[in-house]
Order: sequence, then C-alpha cells, then structure tokens
Amino acid sequence: MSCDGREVITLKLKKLRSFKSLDRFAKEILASRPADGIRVAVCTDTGCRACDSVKVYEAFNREIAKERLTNVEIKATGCHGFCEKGALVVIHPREILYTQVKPGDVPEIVAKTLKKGQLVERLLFLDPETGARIELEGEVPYYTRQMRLILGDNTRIDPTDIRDYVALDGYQALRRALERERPGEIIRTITRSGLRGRGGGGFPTGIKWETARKARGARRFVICNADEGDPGAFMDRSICEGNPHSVLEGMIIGAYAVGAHEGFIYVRNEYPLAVQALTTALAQARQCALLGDNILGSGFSFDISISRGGGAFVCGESTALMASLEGRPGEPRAKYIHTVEKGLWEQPTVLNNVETWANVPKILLGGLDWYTKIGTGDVRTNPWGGSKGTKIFSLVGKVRNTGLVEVPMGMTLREIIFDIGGGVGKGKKFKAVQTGGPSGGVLPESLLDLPVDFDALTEAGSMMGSGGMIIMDEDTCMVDVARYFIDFLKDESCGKCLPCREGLRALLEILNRITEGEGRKGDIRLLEEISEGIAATSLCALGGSAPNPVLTTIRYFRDEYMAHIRDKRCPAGVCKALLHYAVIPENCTGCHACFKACPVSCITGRAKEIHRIDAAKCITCGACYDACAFGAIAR
Amino acid sequence: MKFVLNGRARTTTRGATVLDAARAAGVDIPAVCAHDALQPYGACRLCIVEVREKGKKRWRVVTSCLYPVTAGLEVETDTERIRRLRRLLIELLLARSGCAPYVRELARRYGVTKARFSRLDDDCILCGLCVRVCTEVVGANAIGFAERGIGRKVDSPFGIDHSRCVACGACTYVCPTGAIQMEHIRTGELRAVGGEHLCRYTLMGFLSDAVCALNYECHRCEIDQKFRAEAGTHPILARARKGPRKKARR
Amino acid sequence: MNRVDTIHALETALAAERERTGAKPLKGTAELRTVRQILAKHGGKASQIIAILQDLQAVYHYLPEPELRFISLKLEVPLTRLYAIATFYKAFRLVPRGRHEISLCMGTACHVRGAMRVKDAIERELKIRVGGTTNDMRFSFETVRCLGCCGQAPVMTVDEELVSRLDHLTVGKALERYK
Repeated sequence: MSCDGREVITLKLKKLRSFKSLDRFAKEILASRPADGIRVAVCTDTGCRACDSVKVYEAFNREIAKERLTNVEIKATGCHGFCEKGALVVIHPREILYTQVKPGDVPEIVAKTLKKGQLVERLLFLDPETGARIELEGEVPYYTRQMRLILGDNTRIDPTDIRDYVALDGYQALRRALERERPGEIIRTITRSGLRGRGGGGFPTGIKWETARKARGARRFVICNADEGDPGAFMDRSICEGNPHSVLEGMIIGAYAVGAHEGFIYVRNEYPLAVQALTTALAQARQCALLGDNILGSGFSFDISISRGGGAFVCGESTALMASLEGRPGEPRAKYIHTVEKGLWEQPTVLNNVETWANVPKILLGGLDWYTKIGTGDVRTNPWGGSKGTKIFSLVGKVRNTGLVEVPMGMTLREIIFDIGGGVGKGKKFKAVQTGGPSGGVLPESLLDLPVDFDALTEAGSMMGSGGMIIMDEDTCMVDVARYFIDFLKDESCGKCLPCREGLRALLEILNRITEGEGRKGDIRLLEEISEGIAATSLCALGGSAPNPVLTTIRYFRDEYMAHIRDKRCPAGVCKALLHYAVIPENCTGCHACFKACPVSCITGRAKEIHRIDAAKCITCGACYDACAFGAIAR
Repeated sequence: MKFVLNGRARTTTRGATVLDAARAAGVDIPAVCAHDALQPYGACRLCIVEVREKGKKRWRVVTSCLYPVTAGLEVETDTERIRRLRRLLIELLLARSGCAPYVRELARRYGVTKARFSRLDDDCILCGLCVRVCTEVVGANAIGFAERGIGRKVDSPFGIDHSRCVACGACTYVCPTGAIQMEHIRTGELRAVGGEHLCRYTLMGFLSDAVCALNYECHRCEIDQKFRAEAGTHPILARARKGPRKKARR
Repeated sequence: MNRVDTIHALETALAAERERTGAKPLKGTAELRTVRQILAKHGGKASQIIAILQDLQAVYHYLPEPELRFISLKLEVPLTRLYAIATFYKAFRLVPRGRHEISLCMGTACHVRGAMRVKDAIERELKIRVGGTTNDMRFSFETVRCLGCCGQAPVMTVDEELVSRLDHLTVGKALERYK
C-alpha cells in the first residue's frame, strides 16, 4: 500500500451483485486477518508528514520485513486528530499511542512493543497535569472528552484500501437502505435525526432532501462540497483523505433517497491529496459495484465524478460552486429560487458538506434513539429545534494542543479550548476565540461558557460555521484580526455586486488607516454603517456575512479600537506603524540575544554592553522583543 | 396574481418580477443594471425593496429585478431602511465612479453629497450592460469580464484581441456613463472582412451582403437612419425585444 | 494579435510565443498534440473547461495564449469566457512562472503564528514581492489562504511539498536547497 503515490491504487476486487455478497466480503476480510494480528497505524496526513511520518511508515515496513513478523501489518492512515504531537502511531488491538515518533525510534518500537509487548515509555504521551505517562490512546486527556464518531475510524483505515472500510461495517448502511427502505423512509429518518448542514449553514438535511425529491426536473444531482475555504479549517480535508468511503456511502444513500443518478465532489484546488484519495476510493467502489451501474444488484445506478476548484473561496458558496461545475467563473446568483429546485444546470440539486455526508451512514446504522441522545435541544417536532450529533472542530492558533477535535454538540467553548485544548500555554493569557471563519466572529473570555452549537453562538454575534476555532492570546491585535479578514474577503469577492466589491474596499481602507495610526473620530460609526449596507444588500453570503469579524471585534474589543484611534497605540504590539522599539538601558544585560535575532542588523552593541536599536533601520518585526529574556526591549 | 404594493392591492401576471410589476403600476424604482432587452442581472443592487411572503413574519431586503411576485406578497419600495441602504450604495458608487456625470446626477437625486472614503475615479460602473448586450443580443462575445473583486473589469480577451467585435455600437449605446467607446479608426478595420467593406447591418444579421459605400460614416447613411428611426433605439436592441435573432456574422 | 482562426495561423503564433518566452520551438503540430490529448481526455466537453485548463497549466506551468485560442475554437467556447475563467481563478497564470513555486499560507492560524514575518523575510531574501518571479526564473512567490495544515503553522509549499513550522530567521536557509 503506497501512501505517497500519485497513481491510483488498484486492488483485485470482485463485483458485489447481491446484498449477501457484501456480508460475505466483510466476513472474508475479517477471516483473513490473523488471530494474533497486530496493526500499526501511522498517521500520514499532511500535518504528520511534515514530521517525517512517511519515513516512519517506511521504517516500520523495513523493520518488520527484516524481523519476519508475519502477523504485523503497517497501515498508512489519515488524520488521528492530535496534530500537536505528530508523528502519531497507534498500535491495534491494544490501542497503544506513541507520540512524536521519529524514524530512528522505529527499531526500538518493533523490538520492544511489537515483538515483546513492552512499552517504549519515552514515546508515550506525558500528561502535563499528573506527570504520568499514558499508554492507551483512549485514556489520553485530549481524546477522553471527545466523541469521535466520524474521525475515530481514521486510525483503523488505510484510505487506499476499501477492505478496511468494509471490515468496519462499511457500506452496511447503504445495503440496508437499498434492501429494506424506500427513499421516503430514509428521508424521514434523516429529518427526524435532526442532522443539520455541517458546512456552516445548519440547514436541516432531511428537509433539503425532501424538497429536492419533490422538485420537478429531468435530472437530479447530489454534490459534496469539499471546497473548505475557511482559513484555519481542515476537518473536511481529513475526512476526505482519511476515510473517503464514509463520504461516498453517504452520497450514494442520499442519491437513492432523492432519485439522483449523477453526483459530484467539488474539491478545492489546494487539496491535491484529497483528490487523490477520493479518486482511488471511487475506483475501488466501482470495482465492487458499490458505485456505478446496478449497485449491489439493487437496480439503482449512480456514479460520482470529481471536480477541482480553481482557487476561489467564493466557490464554497453553493451557486458559485455550481457555476464552476458548469465551466463558468464562480459568480454566485440570487437564491430567491433555491438550488434544490433549480441548481446545477437548472435541475434539482442537493448540495451537502463533507461532514454532513459522513454522518449519514452513522445515523442509519446507529438509529434515531442513539443519535438524538447526542447534542442539544429537541428535534422531535421541529428539525430546527436542536443541534444533534457531533461536530468536528479544527482547534488551532495560540492553543497548546492544536489539532482536530470531535465533540457532541453543546459542549462549551471553555471545555473545548481548555480541557481538551490545554489552554493557551507559554505563560500567555487567552483573549478571544474566532469561530466560523471569515463569516463568523470573535468571542471574548466572558462568553467561554457558551455551548457550541448552531444557535447559541449566533446570538452572541458569531456562528459555529464549518468548525474553524482559532484561539487568540494577548499578543493578537483584534483590530488587526478584523483587517486581516476584510483583506481576505476583498481578495475573494467575485466583484459582481456593488456593495461587496466597493464596500469591502471602503472597510479595508478605514481599518488600514486605524492600524497605521491615522484613525479618526467617527471611524467606528462609519465602519458600522458600511457594514449594515454590505450585510443587507450583498448578492450572496460572502458579502452578507463579511462584516461579522468587524462587528464582533467592535462589540467585544471596542477599547482596543479606541486605543488605536484616539491614543495611536496598539496594546497587543502588532500594528507596526504604532510600535517603536527601544532598549531599556537599566534592564539590558548585554546578552546579545536581540542582536542575533534581528533580521536587518539594526542593533548595535557588543557582549556585556548595553545595546541600542537604530530606529531608522528598524522594521518593527518584534524579533528582538521576543528574544529578550530580561524585559529590556520596550515597545 | 394578487399582491400588495406599498399598501395597495395590485394584480400582475404570473412570472413577473417585482420590478416589472411595480413599474407597470407606476411606481418608480431605480435600477441601473436592468434593461428591458436583457436578462436581469442583480449587480447594482439599487432596485432593492422590502418584501414579506404571505404567512411569514420577517421582511427581507431583496433586489426587485430578480424577485418573482408570488400570491399575497407584500412589497414596500420606499421605507426608511430602503432609503438608508440605497444612499449607502450610491455613496459607494460615487466613490468608485464620481467622475461620471451619470453617477453624480444619481447622487444628487438621492441626496448623497459626498463619499467618506477615497475615490477610484473609474467611469466604468461594472453594470455589465455592455457585456450582456454583446453576449445575449448581438452574439459576438467580443467583450467579457476579467479578474475578480475590486480588479474586475470589462475587457476583450488578453486585453488586446478585438477580433470578434462587429463594431455594431450596441455596447456604446447602452453604456450609462460612456465608459466604453469605439475607436473610429478601428471601426473600419473591424467591419472590413476579408477585403470586403461590409455594412454593419450585415454584420449584425439584418441585411445580406450589403457593402458600405460611405467609408463607415454611418451618420451620413440613409440605411442607418432608416433602421434607427424604425427602431427608436439601437436597432439590435429593438430586435431583441421581439424575439430570437440570427447570430452576428464573423 | 491578429485573428488566428486557422491551425496554420495558430502554429505560427505558437512558434512566436515559444521564442518570446525562451522555450525551444517545436516543429509542426507537436505541441497542439498535447492540447488535443487534454481535450480528448475530458471528452471535449465545455463544462470541463476548468479541469482542461488545469491540465494545460500542469504541462506548461502557465496558460499559453495559442493553446487557449485552440481550445476556444475546438470547444466552441467564446474566448472571452476562457479569459474570464483564466483571470477569475487564482490557480491560473497567463505568464510563465519560476522553476520553483512557493505558496506561503496566510490562513488565520498561520497569521496568528507569524506568517506575516515569514512573508517579509522571503520578500527580503528573494528581492521580489508576492506574486512576482525572481529575475533568474528560479522562484515564483505566491500567498494562499490556507493549506489546511493549521496544526503546523506557519507553513508553505515549495513545488507542492510542505515545509512547516516556519520561522522568519530560518526560511531563507530552507529555500537554499531549491536550485
């Protein structure tokens, strides 16, 4: 099994032309595994790859061949979620977790753990609270509070081998749907489960499917939105690369439910590995007749093709995505007539996010009673009445444990950020959490006890969005954050409508002035006024939600704006034009650290002498400030 | 179909947009990028109104040029909120294209005196009328949009390729600000095909094989005057209103 | 450029284009064969235009004008639409790029962990701005909004290979190995 290859992986697979043949296939796979079998899961997702996990994988293969361990199988898997501690290795069936594994560690792991069942202590996770080493993956604090319904399977699956998925009840939900249920029943189940769109919109999936099924059109389409444009979010990428079949199975069930025979997965251009993983999965599913003509002998035919984006955030918006699929520039259109009625090629179209599709097989297999117990609210009479199931978040930024986190809806921000994420670290203080990407907003410390679901964060001015959760500390300037997001949106705006195109330019201009020390009285009110205009009159949700970062930073960090505007000061020390670095002579020990850190050599001074910064050459990068251990640099 | 416009009960035909229905009822709504020979576009946003669907609680701000009238729909065209939003839109337009008299007049009419941010002074307001007329009506596809965001502009391919233009002048005719013009010297080149000096009405598909005898000085030409007088507008736009057209020759 | 609606005129234009960019001109229809193959691979469908252009760019590292004209003729898609697509989507380039493409992630997590400093460092080191190409055609420098590796921020890719946990002091050295 290659984990790097640019080619599609081919296996010898038989077409399954009956429901029972799927069961037999699963039995065969399980029977083929030795009773004393050990499976080593090496995470080869992009994050761990950057920690040489591919070399770890190759080292394992070499070692077990050398030692002739025939009962050991090495698997290259997708993301395990604990990205901070990569490269990650999990050893099944004991579920031992080894963190920060280097290629050089592999011979020891093979000799001690795989051959003798002993632990390599130094590679076990060290709990910062207790100082103890933890053996089992399931007992590591990062994971214990999570509920990894969707991501959990990643450590058991080689995404280039459909057999791993089948061995975990893969395609059983599809089998049940095709064998025993009518489309209407499936839709009712999904509606009653309370499943809502995980891409950020939170629209009840069952209602979307029902509307599409009833809509009139010669062709019907289902689309998977894998555009994942929110900076800081990589949940969908990890599902596509780690467990692509979960998405395919969901789409096939959905297609059956709404009567579609053609499907598309639209993957953003910046995710070539996801495209590859999905392409391999599609090919293998077709080989097994789980996709294509006459699926499992049921008479239902459906196939999927993959489309790559061209580098446009706006193509995450449904109508822009469809324009792109049709071979046009990604310009959105008004949604007065919904895409479920007239979507791709003016036909009824169901578009759902990657994570939404991945939830579908789990719901059908696990049942309504089980699924509706997870999450918040009551969806028995109203699918909008709660947020059911789990949500995957990408917990990143100034947080100790960065990575992917999957929790039941309703867990509070505090629990996610501090109990799972381990808080801010490096002696810094939490300042804000940004959720929902460029359409969302920031929330301050006072709101950390809000539960995270579709509705609670919206009232506070932000939104859960697709799951990006970016932690910011005292060194983050909130005005700069607003400026950053507006700058991003201005580049990504399609430019068709006046308010978004010109309004974002105006907002950026004002925010630039403020961060450059030229803020004026009345600027905040002007920002709010332009924001109202853009939000109310833009053609699509990019413009419609663009002001959120600005409005929430003003709402919760107004004094920071005032410091910039009135006092020409940046309290967080970020806005270069408002900074002035100088050495504090009384504190300077002449340790020379600042001199070494300075990229433009604007600091003079010899060892043990008081150093001096030449303000004319200084580019206010702040490297000296960070390097000084004696508090001798002022800004 | 019955609906309510500014508090009064009205009727309109099925499939009509709010803009069409309002204008038919004598209510004026500004709409810069709309044109009765072209499909509605929804770029300028100036035609915004507030609507509330029958049985719903919330009012929404929508563009009337694209919003279909439904039975029992309530429409308000001149609320305080609409006026405020419209003024902001015009202020944004003024900052972009304050150099164009058309825009300054629009600003004056709606009480917008100045823009509180820097000016671009681009006389193209990106209404898209020129591109849409060239694509939908003339069928030449000689110009289109390029780039995106604030860099969006009307352009010919690679910025220099005029080969598809039939020099019909429809784009110049519909442009509200005069941002798009035809260069007189190029006009002759563009209309000359393979050594023949074809009449532009041949290129637009109105006449077969007519040859120009006046060196493209259309203002002196009787044929041109006749077509214009009959149409009351640019001839190709008049024909568009009537129905399907032959594609332009090139 | 003059009207090039014949294959002969296209080939002449191709030769001129190759000379302009310094690539060796090939004989006859050899190069159009590449674009023909790409079109055939996608079934000659106009809706596949973005995938077609991506494949074209994968071969030439930019979108050459003669090939675009050929595609316009063959697919019966107006050249204005191709030009709109080529300039709307940031993945496409109409001018040749450097041998090594640097894509620095400016996503939120990377931004918060100092991506701006790394950007300044690269600009200083290579003496170009974002979007530019070094004089010796060694590097082209772009920023992208999120490579999805937020756990390793700040990150960049060089020729689609990930380089993570960047630092404004060491990024210059990291680039040395790309010749």
